[in-house]
Amino acid sequence: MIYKSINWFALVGAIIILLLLPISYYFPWWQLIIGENLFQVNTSPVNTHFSFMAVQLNIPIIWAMNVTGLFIYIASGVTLLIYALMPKKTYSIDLLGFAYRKPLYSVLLYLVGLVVTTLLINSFVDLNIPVMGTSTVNLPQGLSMGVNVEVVVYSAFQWPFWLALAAAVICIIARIHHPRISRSTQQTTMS
Amino acid sequence: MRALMNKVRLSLILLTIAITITPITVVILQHQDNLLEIVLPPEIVDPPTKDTIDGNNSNSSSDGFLQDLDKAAPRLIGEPKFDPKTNTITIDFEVTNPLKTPITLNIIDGAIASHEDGTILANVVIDKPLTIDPAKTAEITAVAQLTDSAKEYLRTHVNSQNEINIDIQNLKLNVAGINIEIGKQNIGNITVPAELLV
Repeated sequence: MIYKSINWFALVGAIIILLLLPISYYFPWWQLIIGENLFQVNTSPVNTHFSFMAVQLNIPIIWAMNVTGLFIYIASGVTLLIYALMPKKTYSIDLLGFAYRKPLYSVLLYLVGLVVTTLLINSFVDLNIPVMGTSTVNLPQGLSMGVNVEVVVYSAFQWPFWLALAAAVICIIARIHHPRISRSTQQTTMS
Repeated sequence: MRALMNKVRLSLILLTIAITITPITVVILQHQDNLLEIVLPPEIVDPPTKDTIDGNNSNSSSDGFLQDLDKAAPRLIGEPKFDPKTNTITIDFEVTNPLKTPITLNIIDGAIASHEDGTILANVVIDKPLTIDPAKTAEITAVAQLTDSAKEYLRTHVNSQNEINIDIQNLKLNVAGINIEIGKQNIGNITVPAELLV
């Protein structure tokens, strides 16, 4: 029975991770809108767009991090796919060990990066940008030449973020499920 | 078998290192002349202005976005007109959009006051939204209802050229979703229509 020798959780995880690549490129994980699209941030681990007054801003360090994110997702997805189809090979545990943690680490690092960046901006520029939700931000008087400037800021996690979180959870389940497959292989061999 | 496992393990470790280091190395090498550009691209240091939109980079301002907003502050054009039937005074302003994107002025609310002693002469309200295309100038007509005490004040406080120095106070603008409140801005001398001084 070929289907019994497949780690289905890993297969589903791998498919979601590989699907997440184009999805995360075109749809952000997190979005920030200031004013009526005056300043907009669309971000995911594989693509980040800053738009200021309809002008696209490219920050090279973020571009490099996105390329790293892209490669990590490709490597993780492909490795997990190979493992899922051949979980009984002697080196399969190495493939699984390489692949299953990366989606979780990506989500956690992304989340930590987002929260830390927001907190730093809030503390250094004295703004109140929410990680999630809507708030009214008053520009510090020093920045606005004594003029009172008030702006509505909206930010929210988008559905690809929750899909990435689901992929990370499925990958962990795939790791938990691995000993069962190994055991069934041993039992088959012994019988 | 163990050799194969070691090879796989080593390959995966090398792959992780390559994935992590290569992109950042490429970026550093690309910007080795000015490493600050890695985190602060030129567009952030010098945002787009009217000059850059017009293609005239020689006068490109490095004063920044808020200075450009300052340039967009309403400017008085022509002379105020008084309509004795409705007891209103009409003042025309022009506003320039210095940005690369259309802006919508949603609400304008403020008061016209004497520069000399701050006496409120009229309230100005414009509640019709106005969209201004990039680098274009639009005219805004403010209609102010004059009170009897304001008319009396104008009669007694105009100078020899029938002029009075006025301020706009508590000017509230909503531009592209941003609420801007300017406490006081001097407009300068305006000629008081002769009908008001009778």
